[in-house]
Amino acid sequence: MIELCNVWYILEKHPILEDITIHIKPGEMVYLFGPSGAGKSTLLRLAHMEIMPTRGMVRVADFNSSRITKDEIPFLRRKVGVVFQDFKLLPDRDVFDNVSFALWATGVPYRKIKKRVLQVLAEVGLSHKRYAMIKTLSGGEQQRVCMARALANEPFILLADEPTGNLDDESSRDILTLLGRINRRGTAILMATHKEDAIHQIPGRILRLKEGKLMS
Amino acid sequence: MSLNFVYSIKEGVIGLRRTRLASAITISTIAVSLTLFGLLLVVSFHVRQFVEQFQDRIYVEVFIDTSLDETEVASLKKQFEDYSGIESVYFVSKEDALARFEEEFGKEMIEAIGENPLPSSFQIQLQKSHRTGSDLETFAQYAQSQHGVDEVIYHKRLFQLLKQYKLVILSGGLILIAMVFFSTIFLIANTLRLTIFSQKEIIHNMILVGATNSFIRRPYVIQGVLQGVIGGGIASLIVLALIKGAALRFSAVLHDASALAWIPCGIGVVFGYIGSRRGLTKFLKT
Repeated sequence: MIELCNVWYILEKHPILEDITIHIKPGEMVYLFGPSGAGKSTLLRLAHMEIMPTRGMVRVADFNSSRITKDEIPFLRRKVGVVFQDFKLLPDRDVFDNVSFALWATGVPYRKIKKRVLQVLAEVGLSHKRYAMIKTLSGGEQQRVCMARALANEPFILLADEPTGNLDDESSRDILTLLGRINRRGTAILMATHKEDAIHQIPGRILRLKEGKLMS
Repeated sequence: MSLNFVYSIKEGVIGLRRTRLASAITISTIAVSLTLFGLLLVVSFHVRQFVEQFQDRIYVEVFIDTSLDETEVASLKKQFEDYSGIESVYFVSKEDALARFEEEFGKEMIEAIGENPLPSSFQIQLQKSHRTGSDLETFAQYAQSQHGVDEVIYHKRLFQLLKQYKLVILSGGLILIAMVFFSTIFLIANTLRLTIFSQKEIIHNMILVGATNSFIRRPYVIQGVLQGVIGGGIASLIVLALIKGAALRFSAVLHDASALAWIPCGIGVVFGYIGSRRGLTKFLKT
């Protein structure tokens, strides 16, 4: 499903990731645990090919980093849901438009878009805020919009980059509960975190990353 | 029409509202710069028309002996008409000359003299390609040498002045238009680029959720074209209003330049399209 084989990522002669080999199976819950600067975000960026490995190969479903073309990357990203620490929402639009954007981009008819958006908003508990502008939402709510958007295209894997990084304890618990529910329904999750308590909430495999190297 | 295209049009229109301050600045910039360009175009058009008209008014006046009879006058006219490079030969009889004189200066002067002292003449216009200093000179000499010709006059000094300054006026106008045109392109392209630059983060977020470059580009290009249409349209209406206003006061000397007023609108559309496309290129590389 997602495979990183002997991946190196070097930035300005400085190795950010060194010889990483990971294989994530369908429906698996995997934590990428390590301190800030360990290379967790870089690894996630490689997994949805926002950046390409300096050496080695990343394979996501049928897409291979050594063969993928620039035009194919958007199609890969539609199969992989990404939840960002800083949400990366479209601040000038409301909740509905933010979630539906990912579906419009794939050419889904409006009737289906509406149905799917309402479905995922219900899933993340934001049905009542569907017409709220992003700026008026709390951090926890914005993160749930981000999750709804990531789920809209029914991805086989969710990449979560410090999804609780900017949230208070209560909102963090809500988000982790939500991630657990999504994982139990069969969606694989690769979650990067530096919080020790976060990795005990949902049972899963823990990959420890330190200074760009995989420890276990 | 595909669903994506309908979405793009809707987003393009809504985009004007979302970025209302940046859009207002872009539209104003387009309107002001294209109004200046449109006015320059109209002024340049009239200068060119005046110069052409002025040149058309240069003719050779051949005064003939009052003793010539009708047959001799007809024969002389034929001789001039057969001369190579002549466009028209117009006979002005003594009576016609008197009528013109009285119209311009009144009857008193002629009444004081008692009789019509004005001679008959030919007003001879050379073809455009022969309206050069040497051709005029050669023809004047030829006319002077004909039997029955008293005097040959043409505005040699005026012609020399026109010849001297025509190129300067026309090429100066062209250079000025080109300079304003390129400044306008530069200004509009950069204003559109700034509008798109303010959306940099949003564009990046769109890329990250799997939108293709063309899907992202379309609404922005539609928005750019709309800004061009509105800005260029305002410029066209201002130029048109000024043309109509000037025509009311100076209808005798001005030509109808209404068609030129729509050029700013056309340029607005083209610049809006190209400017927004180019502005996006930088952000759609990955």
